[in-house]
Amino acid sequence: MESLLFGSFMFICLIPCLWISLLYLYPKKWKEKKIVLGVKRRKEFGEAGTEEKVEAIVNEANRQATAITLVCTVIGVILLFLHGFLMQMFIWCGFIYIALLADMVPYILGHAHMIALKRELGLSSEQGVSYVDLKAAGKIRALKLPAVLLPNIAGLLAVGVAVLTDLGVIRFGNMRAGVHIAPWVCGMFWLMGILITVLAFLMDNMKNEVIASDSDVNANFNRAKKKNRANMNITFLWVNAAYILIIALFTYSEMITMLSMAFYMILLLAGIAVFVSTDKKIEARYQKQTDLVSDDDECWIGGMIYYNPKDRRFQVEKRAGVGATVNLAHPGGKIVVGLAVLALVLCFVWLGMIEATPIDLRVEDGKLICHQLRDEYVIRLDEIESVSYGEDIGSLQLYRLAGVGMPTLLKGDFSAKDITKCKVFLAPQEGVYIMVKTGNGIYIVSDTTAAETKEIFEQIR
Amino acid sequence: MIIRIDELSDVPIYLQIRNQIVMGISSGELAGGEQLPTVRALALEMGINTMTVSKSYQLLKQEGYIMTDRKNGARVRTEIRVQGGISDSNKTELKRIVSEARLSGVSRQEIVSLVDEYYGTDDKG
Repeated sequence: MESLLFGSFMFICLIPCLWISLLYLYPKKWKEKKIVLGVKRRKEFGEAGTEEKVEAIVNEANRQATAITLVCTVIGVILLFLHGFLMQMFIWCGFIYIALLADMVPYILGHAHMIALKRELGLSSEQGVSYVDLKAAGKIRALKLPAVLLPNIAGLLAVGVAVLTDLGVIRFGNMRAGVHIAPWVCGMFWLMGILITVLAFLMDNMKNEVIASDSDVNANFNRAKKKNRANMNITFLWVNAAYILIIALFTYSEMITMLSMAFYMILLLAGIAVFVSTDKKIEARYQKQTDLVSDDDECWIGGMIYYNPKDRRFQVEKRAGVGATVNLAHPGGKIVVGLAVLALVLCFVWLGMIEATPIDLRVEDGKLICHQLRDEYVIRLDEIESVSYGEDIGSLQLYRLAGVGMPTLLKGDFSAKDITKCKVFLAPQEGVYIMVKTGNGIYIVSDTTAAETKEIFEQIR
Repeated sequence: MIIRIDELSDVPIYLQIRNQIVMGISSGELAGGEQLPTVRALALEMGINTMTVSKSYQLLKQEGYIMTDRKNGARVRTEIRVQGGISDSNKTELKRIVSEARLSGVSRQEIVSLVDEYYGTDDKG
């Protein structure tokens, strides 16, 4: 049941995204779009002879993307029936990365073909040229401070509820005090709300697009686009605040937490879908009035990554997908991307170290010491009240509150059957464990192998 | 009014801004009394340094095309100072343009009709 729920959650997160990106990145009616595979649509594309070539490139990209999306959907359905939570988790994580990358390949290839076609037609990019509408500069804003503050305040109140419940000051349903998980999760989601707020303001302050020589057209176009972005971000903030409240009140129920997470993702995806649909309508509405094209196609690597040393802006509107992206040639852009890559690399290195370093359990100087990497639990033998040896780890029903949960390692704070909170330090694949009860709490530990664990148990006893 | 900035041009950006605002005022796209964006807003919009925009505005103010004050920002002057003559630097520029046009085989009539077009049909002189 747990693995099916997890699989369904990952399926809901990934597959609709792939279908939305298929519709958004690979539109069939390219003549109505401003951007065709990361290249700004030019009037020359509509000329006899060229139109067929563009049509062929777009159709090919469409065909490939549809095939990839279909294959990913089928794989996603198959993965739903995989047994084992950990197996599901690892395969889904890998599959998400591969699917998202594969989905972009037709776009990148199509972009390369479009650039080649432009060169063939003798259409050069106007690198370093930008247009600014004097009448719209700095005047078009859609985000109102109270609209952004309210959901953040609501979220903060929910965090407060989680903290008070954890401290035992107030009580809701079966919520238990002293578990610490709800305040952390709520706090994390509240910080995510703050991040959305910052992004919302950055998006609202983005440079206005100049699509026509008529300033009124530019002003109306940008106002509509910014209003749409602001609506999406405010919706996200409210959904986030509602989710924080649910976590604050119902963390004790794994089912409610999982379902609310799935519902949270569905609402976010629905928000993105509405945003994309409205954005498309706005683009279509102003298509006929567009008479100004600033061409910097060759600064878009693969039609997705913006690198323009001549452009001093930090962020620009995305060509593929929705929202904004950074200019990699800008020092700020380099820092942001560098930090993101570094965080990803460090994350993998850290996971690799956790996976590769065996846990060490030993009795030394009258103490039971559990050690791995920088973590160490020290239990004085004279403080032990009782000790037992078990061979069925599954019967403990361990649930991670904070720490590491890997197929080869369980480490940190867990709850277990009839135990609100305990310290765990286990190699779960061996199936055996030692349960130590002290005045300070309960410890469930093991060594790397069953034989070594048994040996340590004999020493303690 | 649309301003086109070319980062690769030999003309400095502050001059490009200044020239296009002057052309905007001359063509009537920017009316007298019309508010111009603040230095910061325009710099953010263009992705350039505020000093560059500030330099353009200072130049426009010096030349009498705009007026600035702390409260209202920059505005196009309702009455542009009439000098009644072309500056020496503009004369040199005009001479260069006419020379290049003549060498390219453009007729005198074509140049005159272009001047008429840019100057406007209603003779302000």
